[in-house]
Amino acid sequence: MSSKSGINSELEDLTHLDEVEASILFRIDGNVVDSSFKEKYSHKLLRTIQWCKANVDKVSLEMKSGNLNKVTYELNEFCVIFYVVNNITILTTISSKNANLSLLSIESKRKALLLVNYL
Amino acid sequence: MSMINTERISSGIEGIDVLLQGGMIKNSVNSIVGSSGTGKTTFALAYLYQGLLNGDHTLYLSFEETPSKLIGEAEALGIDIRGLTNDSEDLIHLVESEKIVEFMTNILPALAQKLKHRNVKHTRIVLDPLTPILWEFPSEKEQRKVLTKIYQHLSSLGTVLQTIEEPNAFGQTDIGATETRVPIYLSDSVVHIQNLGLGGKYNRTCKIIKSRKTPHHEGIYPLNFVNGPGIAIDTSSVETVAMDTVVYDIRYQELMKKVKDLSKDKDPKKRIIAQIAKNLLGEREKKDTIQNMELVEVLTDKQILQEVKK
Repeated sequence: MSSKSGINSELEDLTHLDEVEASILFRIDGNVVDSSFKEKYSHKLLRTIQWCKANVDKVSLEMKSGNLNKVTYELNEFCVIFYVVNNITILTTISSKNANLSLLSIESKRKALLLVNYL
Repeated sequence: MSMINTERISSGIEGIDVLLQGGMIKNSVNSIVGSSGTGKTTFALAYLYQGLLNGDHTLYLSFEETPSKLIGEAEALGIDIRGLTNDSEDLIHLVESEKIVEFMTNILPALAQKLKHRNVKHTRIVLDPLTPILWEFPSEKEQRKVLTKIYQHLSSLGTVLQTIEEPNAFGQTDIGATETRVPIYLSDSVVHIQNLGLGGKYNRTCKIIKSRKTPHHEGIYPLNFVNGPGIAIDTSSVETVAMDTVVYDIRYQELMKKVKDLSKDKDPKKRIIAQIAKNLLGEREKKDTIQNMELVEVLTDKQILQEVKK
């Protein structure tokens, strides 16, 4: 299995969770390493993804300076969890506002630990 | 959303006619704006192909690529221009950059006059890309003066589609850049296509940012390169909201076109599918075909057809 498909299957695992709409592995400069989305297209989700892409550099800087592993944002109808994978990548999980955030945080942490093996 | 009664032509791009409430307005100037690799030329080639299908007169002015290269690109995406005409390379005219100004200001108006006298029913004009012309006129004032003149000539002749390069790095966008401002201002409709680099269905998107005389849809829609039509815009999120008569007619026409193409396929299985789809669609007047249209959409889906091929 190539590292790309390995990353993608880990991200797909996350989007299979009911409340998760998208999972994206960002490089800290905002470039997308890989991504997985729920089947249905949504304009509102696209806007949230674009916000993540535009701000991932600032968020990662804040996380580095504050020595944080995880940051959560609430944006409109969505909840975004940023989880540090390594020095240059961040796992972003976008879920609906009603999602069980404790469960998603644990799942994001578990995936971040798995993803680091492919990078 | 009400429809303003203006004569329209089909763009030839799946989904765009739905977003523009029936297609491009006849004798209007339409712009496709996007950065490199977003699909502007494919858009233009699909527009040209639709013109050939409709029996329109076509005039494709390429300012960079040779006719044979453009036709090759079209064929790679399943747009079979050669299959519709014997002199395919005569359809596309390469205008050398140093002659652009002379061509646009002197030769083209004369050509427009000639075609008017030949009593051509409708003409589709493509300018691909407009950007080198803009470089010839560095000041916005000059650009505006020259483009207004060019558009007046061209729109009296037919419906214009022009592509405009957005001067930005990959994944970034600036629709208000100096290079795009004037032609956008002067165009009747503007479609903005972007490569966001997000992957999956969020990778390439399309948005109507301007459309005079048309209450167009405002969202951002996924855009895909597909074999056959070249480009398809996923408007399923529009169609679930409301299925008015106009949208119904456009969907019906798009599906009939798809089925017609399929019925000419070499694969007998695909021809059988085309026959089933044709029977399902039935008569256009019967509004109870809406459910069947959904069935036909599934039947003629690219993935399903690939499975059939296997």
